Amino acid sequence: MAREIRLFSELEIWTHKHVVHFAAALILTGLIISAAKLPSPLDSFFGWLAYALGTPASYLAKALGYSPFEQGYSAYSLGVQVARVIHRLAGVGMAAIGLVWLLGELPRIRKWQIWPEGGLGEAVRNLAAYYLGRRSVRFGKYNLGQKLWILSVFIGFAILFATGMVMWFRSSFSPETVALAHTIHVWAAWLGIAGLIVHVYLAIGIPEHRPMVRAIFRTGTAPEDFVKHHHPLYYEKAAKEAEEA
Amino acid sequence: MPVTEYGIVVNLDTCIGCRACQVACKVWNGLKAEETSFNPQGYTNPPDLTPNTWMIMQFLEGVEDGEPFWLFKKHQCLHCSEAPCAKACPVNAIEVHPEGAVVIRSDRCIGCRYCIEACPYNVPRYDPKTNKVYKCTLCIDRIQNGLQPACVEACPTDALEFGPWRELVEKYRAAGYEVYGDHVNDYVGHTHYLYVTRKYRSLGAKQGKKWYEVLGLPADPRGRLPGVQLGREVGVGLAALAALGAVAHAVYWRAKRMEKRSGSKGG
Repeated sequence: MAREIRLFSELEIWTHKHVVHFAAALILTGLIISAAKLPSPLDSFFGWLAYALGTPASYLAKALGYSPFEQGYSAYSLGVQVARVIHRLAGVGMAAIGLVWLLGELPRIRKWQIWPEGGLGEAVRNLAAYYLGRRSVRFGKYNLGQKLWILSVFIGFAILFATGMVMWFRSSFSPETVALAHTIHVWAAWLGIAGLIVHVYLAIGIPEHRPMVRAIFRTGTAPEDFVKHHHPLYYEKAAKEAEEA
Repeated sequence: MPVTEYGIVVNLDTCIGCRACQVACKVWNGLKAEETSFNPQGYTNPPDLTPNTWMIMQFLEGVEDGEPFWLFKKHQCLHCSEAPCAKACPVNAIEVHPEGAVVIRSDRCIGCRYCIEACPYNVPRYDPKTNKVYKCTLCIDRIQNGLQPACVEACPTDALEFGPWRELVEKYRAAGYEVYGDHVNDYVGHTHYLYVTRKYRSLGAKQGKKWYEVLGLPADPRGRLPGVQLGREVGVGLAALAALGAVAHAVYWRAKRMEKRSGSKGG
């Protein structure tokens, strides 16, 4: 059996898994909330999901002794309202996950390699050589694209959380602040969705990368040959650390 | 048969500020009275629109050419033809009727207040008790049953006139009136409440303002809808571009892999 190299800690696996759950909930509910204003055919598809949420919610309300009509909601409106509640809860959940990850990672902060090894110029050249030339290059644990993605996720979610809070508690802010927050929230969310499409493709759509999918979702480890070939700098660093230990 | 588009003219020259329209609006719509108190700012009372008060008579005071003026302006939803509030509503709770009325349907409203963000005239009002937003309906229930809006019917000086929108515009323009609302801008389109005057046309001219700007009616009203809408449109495009890019890269990557394989076989 091939030797396995550890790439991700239990905390990283746990965080990534739950970020996926919460991001899925946030994106889906966000699209349901704005369904009526999306271009066709997205409006019909996500609008249908609003009904799919609203109809059982209205039956549940009835079973609990409430009437959705007394509350004054049509099934569609109730679906959007349910989506808004889930959206807010998922936002808070995502922030909590991020906080747990940050607290867990803080002791390792000295080990973080934020700036690309070998400098920015080389990192850009390596990125182009690999993705646009399919040549073997000397990546560390993360290449420049991955580093930028992690940073974007972190900063992007912070922006989404802050603007989301302003929208949630809009009575406490000026109309100008609320409107600005709403605009930023929508732009940041769509940038995030576009980025996520690229991220998911690069992880799953390229067969050679699939050992990384297994590593981040389940084992935390990848075969030695894979790490040696795709992440040589990281492999050398790990080997050196093992020797010193 | 095509539906007639209606409008209401507010004639500033003949309004006497009696507030009959304000009372009629309350009565017809079954809206509770407000708890009012002395307003040190002037005679306007209640001082602003509320979820329970869909129109108010504003008493505007000032000095023009050394002469004081006292002007009465009926304030409520202007019922824009482009209705940015309706465009902003995520549950399509705001209906734009062919008669010209822009109406919030309470059974659909979820109280998100996006319409408030979009309105350049600061009209819709949120009620935290019901979690819904309220505003003037142009008395669409009366119009659709052949009646005039309640405020128009109550006006003792005919300062309010209800009728087909186009006819009203033509009539008052021909009579030499200045008209606000027949074409405002691309954001609101035209409004179904039309403000007209001959008497106050030079109001504000010394300050480089138009008479309607003195009344609080902006020359180029803009709400905060475009940024949000553009974000959605650009965002959908970006996401589609990302998906297309992914497909293109997958095709390229596969071709490269095949090339490599055939190269290693040949070698």
